[in-house]
Amino acid sequence: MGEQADAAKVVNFTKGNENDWDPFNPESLRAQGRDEEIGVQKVLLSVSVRKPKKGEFFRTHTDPDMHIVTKLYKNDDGESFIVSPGLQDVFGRQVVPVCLYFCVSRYGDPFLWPIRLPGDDGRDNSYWQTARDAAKRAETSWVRIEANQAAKNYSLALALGELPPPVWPELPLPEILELAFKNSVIKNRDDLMVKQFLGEV
Amino acid sequence: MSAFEEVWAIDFEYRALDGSNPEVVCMVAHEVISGRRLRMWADELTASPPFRTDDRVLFLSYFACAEMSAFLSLHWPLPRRLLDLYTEYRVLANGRQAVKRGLLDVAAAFGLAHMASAEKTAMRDRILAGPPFTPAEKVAILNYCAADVDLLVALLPKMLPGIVGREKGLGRALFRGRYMQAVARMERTGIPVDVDLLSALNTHWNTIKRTLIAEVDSRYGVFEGETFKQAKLEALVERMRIAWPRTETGRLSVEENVFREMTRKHPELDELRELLVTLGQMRLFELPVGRDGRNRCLLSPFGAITGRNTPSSKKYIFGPATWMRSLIKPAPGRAIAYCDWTSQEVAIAAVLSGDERLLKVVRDGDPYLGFARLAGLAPEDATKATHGKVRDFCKMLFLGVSYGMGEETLAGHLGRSTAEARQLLRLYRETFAGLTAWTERQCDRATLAGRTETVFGWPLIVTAATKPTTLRNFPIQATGAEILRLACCLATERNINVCGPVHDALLIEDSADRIGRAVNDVRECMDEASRIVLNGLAVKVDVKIIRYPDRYHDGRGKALFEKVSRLLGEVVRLETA
Repeated sequence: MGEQADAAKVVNFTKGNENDWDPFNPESLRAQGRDEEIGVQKVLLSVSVRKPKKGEFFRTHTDPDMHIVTKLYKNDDGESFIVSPGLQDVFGRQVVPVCLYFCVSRYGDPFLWPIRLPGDDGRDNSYWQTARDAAKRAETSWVRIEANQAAKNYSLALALGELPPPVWPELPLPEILELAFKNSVIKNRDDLMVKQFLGEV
Repeated sequence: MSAFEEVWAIDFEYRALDGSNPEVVCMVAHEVISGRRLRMWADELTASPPFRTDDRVLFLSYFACAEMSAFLSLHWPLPRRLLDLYTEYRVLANGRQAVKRGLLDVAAAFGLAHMASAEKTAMRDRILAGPPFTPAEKVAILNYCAADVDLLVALLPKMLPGIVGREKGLGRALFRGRYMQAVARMERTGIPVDVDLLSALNTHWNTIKRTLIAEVDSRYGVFEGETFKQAKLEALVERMRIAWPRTETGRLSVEENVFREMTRKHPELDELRELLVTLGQMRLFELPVGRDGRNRCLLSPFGAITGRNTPSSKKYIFGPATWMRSLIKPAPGRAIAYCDWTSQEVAIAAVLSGDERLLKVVRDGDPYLGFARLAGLAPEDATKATHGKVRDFCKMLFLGVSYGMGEETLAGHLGRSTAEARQLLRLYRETFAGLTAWTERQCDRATLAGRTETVFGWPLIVTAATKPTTLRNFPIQATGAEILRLACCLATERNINVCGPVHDALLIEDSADRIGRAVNDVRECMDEASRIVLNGLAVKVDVKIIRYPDRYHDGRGKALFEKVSRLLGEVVRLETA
C-alpha cells in the first residue's frame, strides 16, 4: 500500500495550466528556440604561406592593413621564412622583397600569398606584375590564376555567376602572421637554416 | 490540487490471433487517488466504460496501443489523457546501448519486484489457448493482469516527477499517448490484401519457386538448382566489375543491408535482391492476414531511435520483398490511396537549418532540380523531363550528404570518380552553406550537451557510442517521424481509414466513390501536421489512388510480381489441363 500512497501523492506533480499539457494543442508543446546557449567557436591554428593552387578560386582582403610588405627567404623545399634584419645579409640575394596578401580560398581556407616586388635594383618581371594585378582583381571578384609558360606571366579567370562573399577569419594581421610563421622565423646565427645555408651542417 | 481528478492504471488481457483484431479476455483497472480497483471478465465489460474518460481523468498504461485497441473493440470512447510509460521510458533511455523495453525490464531498472518472466509467458500461453477458462483460471488470469497494473502504479512515482520536470514534459508525454491511440486505430484497420492470390501463391509456391529462380538467375548465374552459391556471386561481381563489401574472412558479404546498398548503386541487381529476400523468408507468406482479408501486425511505435515505427519486416506487408506489395488490393467497391510527402527530408532540413537558398528551392517545388540550377549543373529552364538524370543524380547527392556519406562512398553511389564526388560535395556545401553550418553546429551542440531532441521533445541521448552519422541524420528523421505521428493522429481522429503508415506516407481506404473526398481530407491532415511541426511549411503531398480491381504496385517490384503472376498462371493452367 506504500506504493499506492506514493502514486497518489505524486499525482500532485501534475498541477499547472492545462494549456501546458493539452495533447490536442500541439502548437503549445513545441520547443521554443533555446539551443543557442551551447556551441563551438572555430579556432584557426595555422595559416599556410603559398600561392593559389591550380584551379583554386580565391579572394584577397580589401583592407590594405591586411597585407604587408616584408622580406622572405625561401629554402629548397619551397618553405618561406622571415629573416631577422641582422641576418638578412647572410642570405644575400636569397632574401627577397614580397608583399604578403591575405587570401581565402573558395572553400574557406585562409592563406598568405607572397608576391615578389621589384628588388633594390628595380628589376621586375611579368610573372610578378601579373600576380600583383590578379591580387588586386581578387579584392572584388573570385578569381583563379594559371601560369602561362609561353607568355611568361599569369593568366586570370574571373568566376561568373552569383557566388557568396568570402568568409574571413576575424583576426588582425599580426596574429595571422604569428600563425603563418610561428616555426618559420630565422632569428639568430645558430639557427639550423643559417647553418644549412652556409654549408655548416 | 492535482490537474487530474482520477488516475486509472489499466491493463487488458486479450487473445490476438495472427492478422485478426484482439479479443478482450479481461480487464483490471486501479484508480490511484481513491484506491478503487476493478477486476472484470470480458462478459462484464459493457458498452459504456466503468470509468470517466474526459480531460480530468488520466490513464496509465504500458505500450498502450493494445489497451486502446481493447477500448475500440468494446466501442468505448478513448481516454482524452493517456500516459504511456513505455513511450516515456523510451524517452528516458533513447540512444543508450542495449536497453530492454518490456514492462518487467523497466520495473527491474527502477528496482521494483515483479513476477518472473517465465511465469508471465506461461500465463500468456494459457490466455492465447482460449476458452473455456475454469473459475480458478479466471482468477489466476485476473491476478496476472492485476500484477501488471500494480507495476504501473509502482512505476508512476518513479517516473512522473521526471516526466513533469522536463520542458512541457507532461503535455508531450500525453501527445505521445495520443499517437498510441492512432496506432491502435490503424492496427485495427489493417491493409486489404488479395487473399485469393495469396492463397494460390501459398499453394503453388514450391513449383513457382523453381521456375522463378531459373528465370531470374538466367541474368545473373548465381544459383545451382535452388541453392544460392557464393562462388558464383564472386564470378558475377568480377564480371560486372563491382567493388563489393567483404566480411572479415574475405567472403562477399550477403547481408540484406549490403545487398540493398549494392542494389542502390547497381539497379540491375534489383531483381536478384528481390528474389533472395523472397527466398530468405522461412515461409513465403508469413504475412498475418485476418479472416477479413487484411494484413495486421504490431506497428511498434517509437521502436526506432528516431522515434519511427518499426513493424516487423516479415509481418507488415511493406516489409518483405517489394513485389509482394502488389498483393495489396482493395475489395470490390473499395479504393485505396497512397499519400506521401515529396522530398520531405529536404524540406525538414531547410526549415531546421533556416538555409534561405534551400528553403527557396523547396518552396519552388523541386529541390533537386533547384540545386542543379543553382550549382550550374542544369539550365534555368530545366525540367524533370529534360534533365531527369541530373535530377536523380542531385537527389542521390542530397540523400548521401544527409546520411554523412564520404566522397568515396558517394562516388560509388553516383557512379563517378572520387574527384568528381569531392567536387560535387563542395558545390553542395557551398550552395547550401547555411545547412552545412547548421549540421555541424547541431552535431557539436548535441555532443556537448549529451542530448538533442525534436520540437516535441523526442530525444537522442548522445553517448561515446553514438555514431556521427546518427547525430547528423537524427534531427531530420526524428522530425519526419513527428510529422507522420501528428498526421496519423489527425487523420484517425477525423475518421479517415488509415490502413497504415509507411515511412513518409499514409495508406488510406474508402469506398470507390468517396475516396476522392477522403484524399482531400487526409491531405488537409498531412498539411496541417507539416505546418505545425515545420513552422508553417506544408510539404507537398503526392497521391496515388487505386480502385478495385486494380492493385497497388511499387515500381521497384512490379517486374518480379508480373513474372510471379505469369508463372502462377502457367502452373494453374497445367494443373487444370
